[in-house]
Amino acid sequence: MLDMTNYLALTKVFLKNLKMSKSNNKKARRMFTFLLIFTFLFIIVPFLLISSLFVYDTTIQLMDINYESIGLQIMCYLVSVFTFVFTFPVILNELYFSDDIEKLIPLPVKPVELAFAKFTACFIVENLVQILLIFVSILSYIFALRLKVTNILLALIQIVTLPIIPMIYSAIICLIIMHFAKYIKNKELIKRFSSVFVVGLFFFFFFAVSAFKDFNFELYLENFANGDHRFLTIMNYIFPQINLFIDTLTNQNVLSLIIYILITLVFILIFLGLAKFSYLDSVIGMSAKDTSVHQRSSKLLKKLKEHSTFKAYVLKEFKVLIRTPSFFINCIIINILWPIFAYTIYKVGPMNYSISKMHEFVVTGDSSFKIKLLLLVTGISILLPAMNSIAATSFSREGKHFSFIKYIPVGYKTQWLSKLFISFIITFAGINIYTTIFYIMIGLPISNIIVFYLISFLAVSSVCIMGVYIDSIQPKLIWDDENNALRENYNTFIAMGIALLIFGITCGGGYYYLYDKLHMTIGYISFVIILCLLFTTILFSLFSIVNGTRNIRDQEEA
Amino acid sequence: MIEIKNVTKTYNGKIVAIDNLSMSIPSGKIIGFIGLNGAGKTTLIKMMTGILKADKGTIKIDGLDIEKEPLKVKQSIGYITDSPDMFLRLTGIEFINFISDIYKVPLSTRKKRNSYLAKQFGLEELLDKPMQGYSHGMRQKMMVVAALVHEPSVWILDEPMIGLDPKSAVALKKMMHEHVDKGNTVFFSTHVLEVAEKLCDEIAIIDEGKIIYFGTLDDLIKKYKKKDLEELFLEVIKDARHD
Repeated sequence: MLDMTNYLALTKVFLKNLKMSKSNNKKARRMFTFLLIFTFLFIIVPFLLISSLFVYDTTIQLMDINYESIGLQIMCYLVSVFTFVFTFPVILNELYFSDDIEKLIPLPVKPVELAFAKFTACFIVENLVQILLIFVSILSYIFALRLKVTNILLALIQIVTLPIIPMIYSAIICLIIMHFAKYIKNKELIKRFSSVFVVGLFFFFFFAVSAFKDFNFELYLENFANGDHRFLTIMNYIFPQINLFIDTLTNQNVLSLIIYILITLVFILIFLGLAKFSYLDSVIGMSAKDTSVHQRSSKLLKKLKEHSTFKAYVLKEFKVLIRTPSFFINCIIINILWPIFAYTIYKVGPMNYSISKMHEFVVTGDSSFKIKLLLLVTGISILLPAMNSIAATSFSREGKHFSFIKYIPVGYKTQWLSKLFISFIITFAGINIYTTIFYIMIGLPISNIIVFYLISFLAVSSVCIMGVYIDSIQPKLIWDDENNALRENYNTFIAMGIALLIFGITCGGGYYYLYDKLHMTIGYISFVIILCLLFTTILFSLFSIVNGTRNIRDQEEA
Repeated sequence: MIEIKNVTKTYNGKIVAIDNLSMSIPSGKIIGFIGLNGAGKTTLIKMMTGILKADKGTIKIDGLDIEKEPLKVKQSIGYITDSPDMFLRLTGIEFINFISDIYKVPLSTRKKRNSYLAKQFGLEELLDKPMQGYSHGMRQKMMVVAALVHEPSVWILDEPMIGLDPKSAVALKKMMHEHVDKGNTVFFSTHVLEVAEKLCDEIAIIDEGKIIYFGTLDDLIKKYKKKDLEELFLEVIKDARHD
């Protein structure tokens, strides 16, 4: 079925395409490495620590009733669901919409080799964090049970291959959808439909999480001890490899390892069979044909309008962000859907008030509620500009046409500010349209609203300035389709790390130090937060606009 | 007029792409720029347009130094890149209007100019559609229109004929002649020696980052007594390397 030489050669090339290249500038490279390490310490390490503590605690708690593996099992299921949801758009794009497809089809390689090589490259690039997470969870599990660390050796192959089955689920759905989508014939239309599907998948994921409204882990464990295993039974059917993996790890059961390998191979064979059957047809079935009626150019030319350079540049950026499906899904949609994330956290969290109750808090002047609201607005305004990646991919999005920035008669500062402005305006509008409706619904006084707007303005500004600056140090300019401009782009990761740090200092410090310890009023706390954010914005502006424009001037293409 | 003096460019401090190159390109002439792959053509063009910075030396366009007055110099250049697939999510008309805005072309001029260019290159039926759906040739035509919309005095064109159909190629050649007749400059790179022969007043041959010949093709043919252009070109390079 597969020529291994072709498969390996293709995988190697695809992997190179997906990775971010290093800057030629030594100073930029040093700065970038420093920021990367810093972000790893501030995002990944705390995340890994929390996960391993969860597994350790659950294992210890359930050891007495012989269900010690539940913590690790739950962690593996979470990783699998996460992998399934978040790799779906990646696989879809890589298999069907990357620019290299048309160049690869005429090569003397089987379509199934292409599809599997692309799948493998995605698997390697996308699962580093998941594998790290599984690894630290296993260590916690081993320490909790006082097993030998050497137990890992037998299960090593399973640790690194655990996300294969969830990814194959995603890949199979992609193959089925695209098999039928080929009849639509218009590539752009299919891209738009698939964008809607991806958004739907995210919706489903977050609504599923918010359904854990009354979820109580202690209660769940109690029910579990009393014989209620529904959740695990369903998950075992969907992801059969996980129990086998845990059995291999805990009991050093070679038979489980063999069955695990066989099941994984069966899944791979199903994927290869489907790819052989439908991949080529689906890929060559698509085209960007457009048969709609054209308008006369004379009419169009009459409608031309003159804009200032700044406005023209901002409009161009906006159109590219809105019309490019990958940019739309990754950079724009989050500004529209963030209330769903917030709603999910709110539902799962302890503060579950109705709107009328919140109105009552506002009327009675409940300071605790207002403080929480203030910190919520501050938190969203700090995190959203980092999460949407608009600022942190400002220059990366130019790709191989980065030289355009260099040869047009527009100053680097104007272009820098245009990119900053578009990231600011989309994020600020995305936050404050919803919050304004919310403020009105709960009857928040206008004085509070103005303060909240000011805080949001400063927070969004500072994080956007930081994002654009980070991307100017070492933009990811080599990519073969727009999705790859954002994937494996460490600049978004670094921006998120710094935003989390600002978030921790501002919100954590604001709540635990200013409110809980010093018992400051909302007026003082707002004042301190505004001063901090103002200082950060001025500091970032002074540092990054000069250095950022210099970075762009010195940056030499892809 | 383009003046290049003692320009050197290295990549990563090791690979010498342009080696102490000097050249003076007069106004009122079409100059063809020829060289093997990797000879330094695109690097030199990118330095002339401000995309790359020279390690040493100066480049002046119409008397203005690209390092000292970059915006003025860029405003006077019409540059066609070798890859026409940019801003494909914009429609043709949006792209032209965007370029007109950044080159500050007045509204009345841009309407007239765009109308003329769209007609010359047969783009009238496509302007309201995203460039994503254009063929390679159509995209190349859009790049030509965008490069010329602000009526620059100096045209710097990197492989402009690639992808153009015969009608558009003829239109572009005619426009090149009209442009130099007004006392302006056209500098373009090409691999097609026949195009250089028919179109250029003079040719510049680059090899290993150095200009090894700058003059008329007729003089070169007389010197080497060879009529086959490919053979002639290879002979010049062989001689230069031998020296």
